[in-house]
Amino acid sequence: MKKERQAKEDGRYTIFYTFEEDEGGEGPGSPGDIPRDPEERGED
Amino acid sequence: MNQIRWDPTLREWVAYATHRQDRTFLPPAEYCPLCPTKPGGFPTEVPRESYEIVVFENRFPSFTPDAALQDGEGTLLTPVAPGRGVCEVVLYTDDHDATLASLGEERIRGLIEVWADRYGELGSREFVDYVFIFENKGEAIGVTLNHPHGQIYAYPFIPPRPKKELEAAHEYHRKRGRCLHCDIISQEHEDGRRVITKGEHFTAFIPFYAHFPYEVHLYSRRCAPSIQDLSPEERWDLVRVLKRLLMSYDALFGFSLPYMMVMHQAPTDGGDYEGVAHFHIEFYPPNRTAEKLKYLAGSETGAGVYVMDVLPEASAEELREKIEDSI
Repeated sequence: MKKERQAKEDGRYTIFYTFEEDEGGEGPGSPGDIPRDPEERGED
Repeated sequence: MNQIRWDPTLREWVAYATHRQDRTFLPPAEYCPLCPTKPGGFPTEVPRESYEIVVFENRFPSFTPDAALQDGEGTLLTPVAPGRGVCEVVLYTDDHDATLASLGEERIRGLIEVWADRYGELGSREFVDYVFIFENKGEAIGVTLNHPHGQIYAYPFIPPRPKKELEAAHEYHRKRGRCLHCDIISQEHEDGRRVITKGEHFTAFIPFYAHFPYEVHLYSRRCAPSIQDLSPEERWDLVRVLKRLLMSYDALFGFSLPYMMVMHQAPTDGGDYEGVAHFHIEFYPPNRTAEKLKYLAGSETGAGVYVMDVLPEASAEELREKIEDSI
């Protein structure tokens, strides 16, 4: 995650957040497999 | 003018921000101040042609870092204090027509990073005791801008509702030696009738004592005090459970459901909240049917007693069916 802070003319700030692909680790499953309820998979 | 006045009858602060009367009210989409600034177009709050997630200080804040008091205001009985705090707006996407429910999983994951970052940064300020992350969605809730966005209020005190919840959790922990919220999740899992959906680390359920017909609480199963304490795996699980819940909300009546979404987590006043604060998100949709709203009328507003027309078990079944239908 990248964070870029910018000042407005009236003194307020704006922060721009940008993200790389697959940032934060791979998700716990493929994007299309929702819903993933452990009970449906026989887990508790 | 930002000031807070003490109500000695209810023992709580009321915030006054009179400049908010003039805030932008439901502008047409082509004049949305939260959209990117297009070449040759009018300047919006975001001076770029596109963006991913943006946070900025609210132009019409309920609290400001430099709030000051005028002399002569307040008494011993009804003291006043500066409305010192921070109010931020969080733009989820530059797509004006999107909603949190329609965002892709990667973007929601990014949003969780931003929420955690804001919790840490705002909470580290000396005058901030509580970082309150929330979203008001839909005109039924009173939103003044339709662009998908949430807000953050960094309060100079712990607000009454989280405070009451923390006091109950503290008392429970003192008597039983366990986390109140962990025991609530255990009870909901054992019963099962009010559980909407769950993942590896998060569970969404309508509480046994819901105050709105489709009120849902989304709990971290681990006793994590704040969003900042969630592991990468937990954050991914939150993305998926949140997405499923929001999809079931939108499928419920066949339109994008209005709601208030609020996060409860550890205060940032320097206190010890281990085993007491338990990160969770609460949703309060105002609809009781597709056409009818649940109003906070005499009993709810004047007496504090919510009167419900439907049992949580029945509402939960409806939402579960919507998730099953979407498989």
